[in-house]
Amino acid sequence: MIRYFDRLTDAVAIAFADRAVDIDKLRYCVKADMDSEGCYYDVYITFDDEKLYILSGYDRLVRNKKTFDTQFDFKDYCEYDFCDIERLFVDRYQYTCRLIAKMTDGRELPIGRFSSGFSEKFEQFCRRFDCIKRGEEPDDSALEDRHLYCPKCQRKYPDPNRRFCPYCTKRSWIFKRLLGMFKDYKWQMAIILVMIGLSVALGLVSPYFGTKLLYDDVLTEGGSLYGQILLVIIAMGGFSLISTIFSIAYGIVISCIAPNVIHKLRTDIFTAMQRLSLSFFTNKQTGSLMGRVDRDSSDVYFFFTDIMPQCIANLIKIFGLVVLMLMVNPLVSVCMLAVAVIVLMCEVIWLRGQRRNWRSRDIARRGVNSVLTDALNGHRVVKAFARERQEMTRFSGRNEQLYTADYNLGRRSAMFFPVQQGIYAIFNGLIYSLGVYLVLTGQLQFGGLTLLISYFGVVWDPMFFFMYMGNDWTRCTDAAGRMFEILDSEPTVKPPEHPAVIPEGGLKGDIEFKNVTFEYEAGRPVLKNMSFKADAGKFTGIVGKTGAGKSTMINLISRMYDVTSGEILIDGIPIKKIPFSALRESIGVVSQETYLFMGTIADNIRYARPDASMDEVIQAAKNANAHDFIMNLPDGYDTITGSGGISLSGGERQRISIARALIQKPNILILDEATAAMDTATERKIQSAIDNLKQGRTIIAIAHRLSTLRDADMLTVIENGELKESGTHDELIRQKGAYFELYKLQSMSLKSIGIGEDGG
Amino acid sequence: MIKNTQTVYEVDTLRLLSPEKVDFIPEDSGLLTLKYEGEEYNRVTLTRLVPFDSSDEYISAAYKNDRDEWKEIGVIKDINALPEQQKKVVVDFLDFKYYIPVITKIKKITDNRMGYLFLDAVTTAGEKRIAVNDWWHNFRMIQNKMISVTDADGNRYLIPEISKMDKASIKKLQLFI
Repeated sequence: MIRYFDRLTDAVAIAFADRAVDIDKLRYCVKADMDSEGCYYDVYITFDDEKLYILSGYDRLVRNKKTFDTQFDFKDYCEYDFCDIERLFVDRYQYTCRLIAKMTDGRELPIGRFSSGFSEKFEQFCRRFDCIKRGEEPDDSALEDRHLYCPKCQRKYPDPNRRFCPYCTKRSWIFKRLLGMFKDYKWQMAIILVMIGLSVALGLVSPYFGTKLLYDDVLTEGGSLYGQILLVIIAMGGFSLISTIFSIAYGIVISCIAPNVIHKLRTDIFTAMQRLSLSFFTNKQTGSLMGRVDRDSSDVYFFFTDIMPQCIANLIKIFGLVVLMLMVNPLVSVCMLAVAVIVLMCEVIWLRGQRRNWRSRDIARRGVNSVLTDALNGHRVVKAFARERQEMTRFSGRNEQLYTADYNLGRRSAMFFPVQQGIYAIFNGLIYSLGVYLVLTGQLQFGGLTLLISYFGVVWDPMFFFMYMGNDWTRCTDAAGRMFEILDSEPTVKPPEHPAVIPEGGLKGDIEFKNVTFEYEAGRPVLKNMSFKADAGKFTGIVGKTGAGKSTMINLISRMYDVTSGEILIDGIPIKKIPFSALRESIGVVSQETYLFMGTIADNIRYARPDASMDEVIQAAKNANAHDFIMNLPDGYDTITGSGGISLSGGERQRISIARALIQKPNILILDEATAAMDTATERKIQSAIDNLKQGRTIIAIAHRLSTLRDADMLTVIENGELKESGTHDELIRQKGAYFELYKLQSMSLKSIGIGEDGG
Repeated sequence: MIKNTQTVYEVDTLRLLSPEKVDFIPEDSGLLTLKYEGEEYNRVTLTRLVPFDSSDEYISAAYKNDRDEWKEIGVIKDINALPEQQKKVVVDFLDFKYYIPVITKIKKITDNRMGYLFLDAVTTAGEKRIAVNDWWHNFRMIQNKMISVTDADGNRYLIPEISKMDKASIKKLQLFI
């Protein structure tokens, strides 16, 4: 039964069944999206244990109330026997690819053409086809946790690590989910609602005392409360005061609850980020991730503390106003509301065009910011090449766009508002005239008219609020959507479900690669079927050109990524079964990129083992040859590093990073170009420090300078992701292979600049 | 010894291929064979070095060596300088290699306000609903006249000249460029 990669829709399954294909026996399926001419077309390619089947036509998705029905317009069908096909492969072009069947008679048949974004599944499909053809069972374990299809609309999830379908997920889903976060505070929320209701109701009644009651009953002779002005003043003041008290009270309750929810959300997001694998961070910009924790949570906070209560209050207010106005005089009220609607309609039309200007302004502003960031970050290069004028021109161009966008925005507003005010004033005059006429003819009391005029002044607030609320709602749901994206993402490297028991003392460090293939991007293997061994307690050096796959091997050993195929064993235990904690405790990595956190140098050194004593910190620094320069810093080990702290040179940072790895006392120490940023004398010193640490420790080191690795017990040469040769320095020199060539090249380079290199 | 020294210090230089000397022959594999100055190179591919600015100029010809590495043979400065039959072979190859659906009309752009834009577009490959995630990064303006669009699956589309689109399409696009 097909589980991967594309599903057969019901209509396609029927079309296959009509051609005597047993659907239950099909193994894998992929769908190509183009014909040979590059026009959109749906080509289903699938196979069982005997044949490859290709069905072409057009898929149609028909919405049927809440579900989707599928239709398939059949065009073509063909099938090939397994014995006629040697292998399947993907032929890549710039933006499209072709699936090619290499036939046993040597021909290469194009089976389907597809957009390059689908190449990964086609590569995996080919691999499985070849596997089954060889009579082997494909390993689908890496696919099991991936979410491929939306169960509702059957479309492919854009991100297989997140169960989110942009096609059929409604915007309200995010809002409902956000509201769900308030469920722990339901009683408080109920109290807030009651208080908002009361506050608005009392606020609405208040004008009644100052207008209708005052003019018609207190100031009019014969009125029911004639002359009792004090009572009216007390009533007005009292109602306003109570309304304000309720308003303050619900504001306080909300500002207590919302920060709790946002705090929890922010913590959850940060925790989720820590859980995610390295690939998540390499695919996202750090700036945008930081913005998600910071800006997005503020947007959500603002919505819940400010917009939501106002929304509820305005909803009650507008409903109450309409009812009260109609009770006073339906004719004048309807006219007033009609004017309000006309004025608002004008504003809606204006707003629609103005949004376009806002968007242009936003784009222009981003453009200005990007040029600013670019020029300021690259100021050294700008100055070095004396390109200040060029940068000024570039900035002026962007700034001009922003000016134009601002001008358009302002001009449109300046033209619209006087017109709108004019329309309003004309209609207002007409309504007042009508009111005066009704008062003079005795159809409406003077107090009633003043009350209506007073309410008419109030009715604008809620109306404008709802008109502009869309932007705040959008900003909040956008922000929440981005935050949920992180919360819902699943790590690509998952902890073992049934972890192996690791002996006390941690892993020893017998590392074995068994036929390991690894791809960052499908179809472009960085490591190709590599098998290699590093013995515990030995110093293994990995040598190769840039891009050969050395650092990838290190990433795989520390399980930053999982292998595409094959297996890595440490002490005979598959790496996927080793608990993360045991793996990380046993492996210390000093990489090419060093990062120092905000804090003191001592804190940075003891980052992996916060309980390390100061003695150990200093010892590690001495071992890493960092003590001398730390000693010369004014604040010694208390020197603050990281953002806002002292700036250290690349070599100094690297030495702190080595000390950080050493203090962890890992059984396996990985040095990825750890001494690349240092001068030869410092490198020698660190080398001897590393030599001291060799005892009982597995060391794996990558270095471009072969002299660094000359004392390695074993050297492994990698070329184009493949293991080329391995042995000791002397053995490899005698072999006169790839290592010998590399060594010779380096020796000659050094000699040419007057530095001799002995040995060899 | 001298040879090795040359390998270390030899500086790669631009080698322009003489248009009248090149002889490209299409292979069954989809790649080309190039005969040039007495040498024959198999499995040759052509690459536009400046694909957007001048797609007919600076075409690199490279072949795969025994180590599976692409090695450049040289660069054709202008394919219009090639003999007619050779030009056809080169243009056919490049057209196929660089085939990209071109957006000719935009019927509707919907922002689902959850990070995705949906473009209901007419392309040279047919009509398509294109889902674009994070439009700020995936709507790339090139040389102030063309737009490269990358959809949620990583597929690419091109608008070669915005000003040549119909007014309604431009108006819809203006919100995003």
